[in-house]
Amino acid sequence: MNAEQLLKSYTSGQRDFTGTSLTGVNFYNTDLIGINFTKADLKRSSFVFSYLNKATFNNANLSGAKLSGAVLNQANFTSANLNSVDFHGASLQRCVFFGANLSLANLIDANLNEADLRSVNLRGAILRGAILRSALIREERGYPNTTFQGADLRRADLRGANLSGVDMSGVDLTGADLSDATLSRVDFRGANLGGVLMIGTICAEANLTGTNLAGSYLRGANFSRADLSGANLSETDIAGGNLSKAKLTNTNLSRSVLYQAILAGCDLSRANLDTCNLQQCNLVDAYLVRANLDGADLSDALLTRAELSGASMIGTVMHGATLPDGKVMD
Amino acid sequence: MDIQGQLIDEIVTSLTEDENVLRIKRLMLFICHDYWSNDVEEVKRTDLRQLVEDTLRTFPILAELKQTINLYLKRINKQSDYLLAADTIIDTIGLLYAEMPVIPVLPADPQFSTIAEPLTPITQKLGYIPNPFDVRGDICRNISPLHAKILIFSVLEYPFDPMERDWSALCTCDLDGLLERLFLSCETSAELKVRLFDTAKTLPYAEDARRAAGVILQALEPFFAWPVAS
Repeated sequence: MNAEQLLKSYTSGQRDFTGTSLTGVNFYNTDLIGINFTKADLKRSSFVFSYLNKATFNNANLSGAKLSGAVLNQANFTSANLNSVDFHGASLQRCVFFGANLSLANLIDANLNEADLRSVNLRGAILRGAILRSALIREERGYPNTTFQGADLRRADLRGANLSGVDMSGVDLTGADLSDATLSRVDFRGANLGGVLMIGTICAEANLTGTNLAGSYLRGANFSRADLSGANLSETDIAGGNLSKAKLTNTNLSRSVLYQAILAGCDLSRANLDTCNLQQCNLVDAYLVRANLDGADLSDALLTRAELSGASMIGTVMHGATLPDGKVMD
Repeated sequence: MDIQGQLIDEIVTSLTEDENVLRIKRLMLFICHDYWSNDVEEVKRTDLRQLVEDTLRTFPILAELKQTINLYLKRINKQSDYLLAADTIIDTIGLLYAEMPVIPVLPADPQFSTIAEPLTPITQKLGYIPNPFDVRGDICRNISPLHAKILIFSVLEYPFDPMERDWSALCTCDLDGLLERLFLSCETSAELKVRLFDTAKTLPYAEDARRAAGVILQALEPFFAWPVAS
């Protein structure tokens, strides 16, 4: 079948083109709403600016295909091969990509609002400026977790997305908005999260070892039991955040705002907390051995049973703080 | 001390003298730090100037401050008791958001004071897009993001033909970056309208481009007439 024959059949009302082979064809700016391309071979074909709302591409091969600017809302790409596909500026709202291969795909400025991206391979994909609001990306029992390894997610909008258990190692999220997203158990090793917005984000048990979060806005975020050892959190705002039992060894928190944060049971050994705002912080049972607290403000903080041996406290403000032995500073 | 600092001092003095000062401080603590204090001594101890500065830092735009106050008011049991405090916060701290010079209020001339002129809200063009991700999301909801991108690129750079093989120049740009550049390059919404629709006519698939022009104009228009402190 060639493009012309397919269009003729589509116009006459046929929608099912299961298993069709149309390698390298051009459907530029074509209306193919609701078409069924299940198991079709559409390698290197072009659908630029086409309307493919509610189309089905289950198990189809679209590797190297061009779908830039196409409108594909509610299309189904379950287990499709979308390697190196071009979705630049495409509208992919509420699309299903479960089990698809999107490695090296171009998704610059694509709109993936509420898309289902569970168990998807997104290694090396470019998602710069993509909209992933409320996307469903969380782990699914019995299936491999979605991986974004090395993907470019700069200035992406991930507000309210669920990414629990996802592999985000080595990703670039500079300037992205992850507010209200769920990132429990996410692997962020080697990722760049400089200047991200994570207001109210749930990052419990996430692995953020050695990541860059400098200058980020993390108010009210939940990092309980997360591993932030060796991470750069200088000049971040984590006021009211929950970091209970988090691992913060060798973490750089210099000049950060941790006002009213919960740091109970935290491992802050060798952490740099100089000039940090720790007013009214809960540091009960915190482990601050050899931490640098020079110039930090611990006014009204709770340090009950905290371990401070070897900590540097030159110019530290302790007004009203409850000391490890339970005494309150004047 | 700069003008901003002097204004903050005046506002702090005025709020300190307000009979509602405890409610004002409690409400400011609540919106800035999501913390409700029932301890009168604690509220008294809280530094008002620090609270004013916290408010400015937490809410970079006045609309955001107003919206948050309204949201938080709904969470308070004795809402009516705090409405006056909310109004006082907006009326005083709101002055700090105005980027335009403050117009001095002249004493009323009794000769002309018999007929009161209706007050018209003072508006100005913002120097930035306050919520760029929301604007981008609104634009992309009902049109293909690429149509919007090509149109803005064509307004700012050169008419882009999607049939061309070389898309590298377009790929290096991001939609939100282009939106910001477009907004900053137009003095008025009328200018924006002319530039968008005139360019749309010259592009292939003019109907899609015209639709994109309408959506972009609608999304950016409010920022050309942003209300100055009310």
